[in-house]
Amino acid sequence: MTERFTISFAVRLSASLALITTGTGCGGTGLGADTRADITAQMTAAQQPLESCYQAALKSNRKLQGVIVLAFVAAPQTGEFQEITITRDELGDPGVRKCVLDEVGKHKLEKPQGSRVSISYPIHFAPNK
Amino acid sequence: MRHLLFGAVLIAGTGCSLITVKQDPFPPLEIRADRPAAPPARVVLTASSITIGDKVQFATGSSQILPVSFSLLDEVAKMLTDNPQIELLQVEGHTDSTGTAAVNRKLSQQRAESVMTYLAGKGVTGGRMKAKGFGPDKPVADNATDDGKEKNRRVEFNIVKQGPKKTVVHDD
Repeated sequence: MTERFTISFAVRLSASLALITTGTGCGGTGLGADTRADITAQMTAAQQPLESCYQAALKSNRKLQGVIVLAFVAAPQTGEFQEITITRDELGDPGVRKCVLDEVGKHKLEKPQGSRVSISYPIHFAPNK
Repeated sequence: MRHLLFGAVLIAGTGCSLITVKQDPFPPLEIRADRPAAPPARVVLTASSITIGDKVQFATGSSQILPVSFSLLDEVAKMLTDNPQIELLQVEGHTDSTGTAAVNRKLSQQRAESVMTYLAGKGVTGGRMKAKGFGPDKPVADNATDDGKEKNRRVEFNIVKQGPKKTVVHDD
């Protein structure tokens, strides 16, 4: 009984310690409002070229639309967007995929963090009505 | 107590790699673009005919329809199934003036029948269609030029009989 209690307590303590650790700068976690705003600003800066790519892709497939979800990191110190991968792709268009990877890879955080920042970001493509 | 210490050491040793906190999702970046203008329809229903913006292609000297024309005929079939008010359609075969008229009439008849058979295979009731080969008898252009001959070699879909317009409701 005592041993079970101890194990249970240890697990809870472990979780608490992990939360504290991640909250203080480990990758992929707890983004501050400034960092979130920075990321959104950088993604918005990629909007225009992505619209051009999408426009071009619509010429060969008028029904092309859907969501692409990206996973990437903002590198420590530099803030550069790296290790960009597509975790979900409803469009399935190779041209748009390449365009998204290229364009997002051109950006970096205005205010880089001291550690890696992991980001998951959805992009919704839809034709104008 | 040993377990407690082990747990603490484990976490301290592995840092933040074991457990991550789920970040709030970002709202999607919205990408918008204009759809290019739709290409003009290849198959159009008029008051007295179904006109096609492309040619039905046959193997040379044969009534065999080339696969390149299947999609065009599929659109014609859809036009017919979508428009049940068309009660009788005449599938007409026409040729240019090269060769004897008798041979051309026979070939154009066979080609019209071939098209009718294809449409029937796509769900158009046989009783709604009839085939007629006119050979070179109804030219629409000058047979003295290659361009004119090309225009004269054709398949037409003329409506012989139709009732009041009916509405077709698709399940999808």
